[in-house]
Amino acid sequence: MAKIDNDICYELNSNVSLLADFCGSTLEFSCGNAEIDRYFKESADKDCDCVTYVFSDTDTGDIIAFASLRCSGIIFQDSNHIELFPAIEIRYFATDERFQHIQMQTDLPEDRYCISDSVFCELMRMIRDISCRTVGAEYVVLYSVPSAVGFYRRNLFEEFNEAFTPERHRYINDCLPMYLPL
Amino acid sequence: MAVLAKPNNSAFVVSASKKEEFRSKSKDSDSFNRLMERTAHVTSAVRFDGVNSKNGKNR
Repeated sequence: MAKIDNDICYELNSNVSLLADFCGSTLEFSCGNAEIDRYFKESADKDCDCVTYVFSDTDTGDIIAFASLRCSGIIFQDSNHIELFPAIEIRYFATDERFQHIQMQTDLPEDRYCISDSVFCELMRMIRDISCRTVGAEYVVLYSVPSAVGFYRRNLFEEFNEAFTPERHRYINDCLPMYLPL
Repeated sequence: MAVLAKPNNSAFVVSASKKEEFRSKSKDSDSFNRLMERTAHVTSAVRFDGVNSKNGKNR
């Protein structure tokens, strides 16, 4: 069980599993975004585009976070040429509200390092492992909601520059495309 | 605040004229290693077990 006191996490033991193999219930999960919650509870297990991983508290079974990954790529394009560099896209990453804003102990007190950072770092380690051993990829890409841009910057993701040409789609609205080279 | 990446159906398209600049910057990047180094400063006890965890340790 995660040892948390005064919003500081002293010990975190997490089990990582595929959603397809997860034995617990997803019903209590809530990240604060109804759309994301609905995807996780109702659609993720049927979404052929993504593989979803569940990070749960080893002892209680409480879901700490989930992440859905899929293949993607960064496309360089002009009028008569297209070149694609493979990427893994973090299509969803969400932390349960009970585990949000809880800091870990660190010897760099100026670094705000939370449970979500720790889980995300493990996810990045998993992605790196996938890219080295399962299917090649050079980048991790995602679209961040505005409120999470600071989180991804803190985790060294960069924004695409002005040369990025996002396609028009109502769903992305204010989301910001970001990437990190593997 | 939820920490999340929102879904979309858009591709990640960059102007080809920026490719060399983008690729050069990427090749010089040590972001992933710096991200991993950041975890070395965590003093809370952290353990991840399961899918693809080589040794189950976060640091």
